[in-house]
Amino acid sequence: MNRMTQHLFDATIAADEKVEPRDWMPDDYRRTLIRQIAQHAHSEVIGMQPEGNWITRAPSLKRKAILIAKVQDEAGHGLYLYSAAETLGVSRHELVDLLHAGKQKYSSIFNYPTLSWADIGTIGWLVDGAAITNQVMLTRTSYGPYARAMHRICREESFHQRQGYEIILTLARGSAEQRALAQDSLDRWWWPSLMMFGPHDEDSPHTRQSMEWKIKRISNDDLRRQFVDATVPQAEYAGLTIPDPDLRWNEERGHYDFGEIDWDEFWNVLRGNGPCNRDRIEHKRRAWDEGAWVREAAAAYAAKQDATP
Amino acid sequence: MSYDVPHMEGEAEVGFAAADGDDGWPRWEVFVRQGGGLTHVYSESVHAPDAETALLNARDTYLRRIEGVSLWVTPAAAVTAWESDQPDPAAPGETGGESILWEVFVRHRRGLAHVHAGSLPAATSGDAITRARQVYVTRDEGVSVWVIPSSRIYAADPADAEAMFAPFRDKEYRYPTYYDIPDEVGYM
Repeated sequence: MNRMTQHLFDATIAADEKVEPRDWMPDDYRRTLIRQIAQHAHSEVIGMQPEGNWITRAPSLKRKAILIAKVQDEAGHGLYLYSAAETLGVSRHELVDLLHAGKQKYSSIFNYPTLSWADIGTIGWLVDGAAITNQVMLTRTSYGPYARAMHRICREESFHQRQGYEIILTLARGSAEQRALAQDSLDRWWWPSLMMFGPHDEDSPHTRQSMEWKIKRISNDDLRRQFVDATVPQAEYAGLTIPDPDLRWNEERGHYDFGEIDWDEFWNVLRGNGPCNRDRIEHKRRAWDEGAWVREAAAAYAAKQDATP
Repeated sequence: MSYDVPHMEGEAEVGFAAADGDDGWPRWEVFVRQGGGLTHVYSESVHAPDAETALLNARDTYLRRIEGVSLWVTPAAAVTAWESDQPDPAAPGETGGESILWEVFVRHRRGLAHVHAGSLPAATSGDAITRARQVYVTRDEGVSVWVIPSSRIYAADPADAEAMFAPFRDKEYRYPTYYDIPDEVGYM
């Protein structure tokens, strides 16, 4: 019998040590991790769609090459995360099936459309920026394989955010029309980016347990505040206006105050009624079905290898 | 990326009855030796129908920006594990069988990946674990030991190394320093 028990698990967490795959762990710890890592993996994979949308229409060969490399990274990040989830006793195939069946979620941010080239800049700057805020925290998560996957991902995300901000700066310094594209894009993505951090702490019933287990190390509202504080000066530098009349520096707190998120929109998109929810899953399923011939060819090649020693 | 996605109706509860296989494709454990690195380090897993494809998938997944100089893959099922908080493995059977060569990987501390420690001959996996602990694990370290039959480890052909590992060098735009970001906007 395995001697690692609740007591040892608690001691491992208390000592800020990592829990590793073959350790004993509470069922709910395992369940929480599977759910979170799977959602994280699905988000990376679905996140390829809004950006992939602009590969054929990137304004230059250079931007096209960069975007292809970025989308390839997102696929890689999805694979790191599925691999981490598998150490908890689920299979990648099972998780992908649940995504296709709509029984596991991905981040709602990817249910918004990319309407202009500026959105590719904004996604790198804001969406990846928000993701980095979260993921840097998760490099200190208590589950070893998840923490190691986060280290790999964070190493690659810096490129994502910088190329995005560079696109925005280029547009913001361009013609009036280009500047308007950048502003319009910020107007549309600002609030959904803030929603990425999830409900307010008091409306997030699982946060407390996740923080006790040190899966999460910083609460939703604190992460969101970190993100706003870092991002506002970046918008100002680009000469863009954040679409929030309540946004102002609070000298006393040493942070920005900002307005309230439209939580009706948040819940509505989460329930499946965002602009692209249906498209994203349909596209994902179609890509899986249409890729059948690749899997068959790979299997046939493997069978041939076996047959010719 | 990751977020707090609230629990919603219709969401699946995932069981964890270790289902194996991915459309019939086994899972392969991946070990990478980086440029300047002395040993192979465990680098999580990939799915593939055969060793050759597993090596390519591992390269594309884990070596997009890291300079690998050697890559190993092994079927996940070929790994025998022992954890320091678990009882000793069953005593080696009275097989008296012939010894084969085993590769030994040790996780020295929680939070770190397994690293290749060396190889040794043994007749059974239990025997290999026992000997690996004697040879490669000092008293206060080694929270986890893996042994894998050497014959089950597949390596990228050194003759193909240039083609195999070159891609990490291409495409300088994949590195953050390619972008000119003014200091005024803070760390990015």
